[in-house]
Amino acid sequence: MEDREIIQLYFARNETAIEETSKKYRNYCTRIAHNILSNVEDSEECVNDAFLGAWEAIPPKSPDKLSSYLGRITRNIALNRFDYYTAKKRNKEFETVLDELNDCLSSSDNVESRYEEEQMAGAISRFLQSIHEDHRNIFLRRYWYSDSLADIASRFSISESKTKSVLFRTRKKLQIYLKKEGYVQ
Amino acid sequence: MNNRDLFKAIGGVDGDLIEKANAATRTKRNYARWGSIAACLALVLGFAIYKFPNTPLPASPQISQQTPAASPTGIRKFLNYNGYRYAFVSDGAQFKFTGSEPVKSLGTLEFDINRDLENHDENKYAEKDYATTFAVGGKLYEIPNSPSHFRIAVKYEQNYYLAEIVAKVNNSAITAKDYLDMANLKEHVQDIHILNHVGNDVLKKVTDHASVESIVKGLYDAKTADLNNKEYESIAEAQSQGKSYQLKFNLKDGTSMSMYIIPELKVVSMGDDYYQLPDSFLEQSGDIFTGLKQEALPLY
Repeated sequence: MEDREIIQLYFARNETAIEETSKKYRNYCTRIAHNILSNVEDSEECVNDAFLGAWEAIPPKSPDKLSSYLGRITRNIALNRFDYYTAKKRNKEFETVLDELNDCLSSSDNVESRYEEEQMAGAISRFLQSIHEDHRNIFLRRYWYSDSLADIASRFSISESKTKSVLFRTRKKLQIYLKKEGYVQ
Repeated sequence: MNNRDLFKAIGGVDGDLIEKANAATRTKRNYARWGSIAACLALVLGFAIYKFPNTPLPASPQISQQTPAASPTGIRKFLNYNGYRYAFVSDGAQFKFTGSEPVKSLGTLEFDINRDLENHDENKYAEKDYATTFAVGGKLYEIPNSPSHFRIAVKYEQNYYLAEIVAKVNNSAITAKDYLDMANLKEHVQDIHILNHVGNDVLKKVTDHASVESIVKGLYDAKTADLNNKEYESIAEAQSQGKSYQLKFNLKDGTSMSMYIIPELKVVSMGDDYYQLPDSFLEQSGDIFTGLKQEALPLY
């Protein structure tokens, strides 16, 4: 079913909206959640919550891209759960993903700084549009989808060392960009 | 702002970019890899046995794994030697030699690829011989009776590791024949286990000599596959549907060597490359895959 039709079901408050969403996007969202939580059961719960979240948010929201909208909700729920579960069970790979992002910040950023998440997302989008397409996709696979280095290397048919190198350079470029834009110090 | 805030902000980037990244792969085959699971253990008994294929080699060591395979996270453990890229077997597990220890030195791992990458790849160590991502300072040794150097030993802090050819450093393809000849699989294989893709469930054991021989022989006719996006997607799809199997060749030296095969797509991996199997392979050996059942991977 087309995304447009699924969204119409949400607007009509027709519960098959969730069923259709699940058919089309459950795997996609489960993978995103699993990359963060590294546990099948937790990921499934997280995806169910994300679908419920979508049901509650649409309407009034009417997402342009249902996939990335659902993915974003999943990601946020998974991140909250990750923090919650951190004490018990750690997903080292995802810890690494977060640690790598410190490269884009400076140590003084960890304390407090005011920013508008949405505006910053816009700035990051502009930055990503300005870089090489392969580098952009590799960056997003790592920091949006939280893919492992091995998965990215395999997807793009490059070595893991090359993947690591592209990510490193892109993070450094992003840091410079965010500094220039006043988001980091 | 901390890294979690940044992670959340990245979550809000343009949906178009997210969709494109979801569909993105690279078209040009460069350094094709088949996931990171690559177990692969093959001892090459090379020239000696090549000359006298039916003679057991008294001086050939038995090799046993001492530590479990590390989980494949972080950067891959590999080294460059003699124009070939070698992956550490079982992601850097330690091995013990019994019977004869490696003596012939092949040099020292001098260049630290990880450090070079942190310095923006300035020395291009990733393309240099004696560069490594693991065990920097380790010494390379020829494995006794393995002059083809398909596998070499690395001695680091008094422990032995094995490294095995997975590709050429310049990323040019290795033909199936060259790969199999270097591995000398014909002579070294004892039996074959067919496992699920992940490698934790033995689905079938092929022990009769004729079937084992026929499988290895069939692999010789595989052609290097130059896969396009769609074919990569088919492979990923087949993997997620439980149609990809691990072929584990148990070798006479006590180690093993693995390949991944998708009978439906007639594709097999050797080292980091994909190869297309001829129809005759499945006509002869396809039966061994019938009736095998594995659970589909939950997520991919």
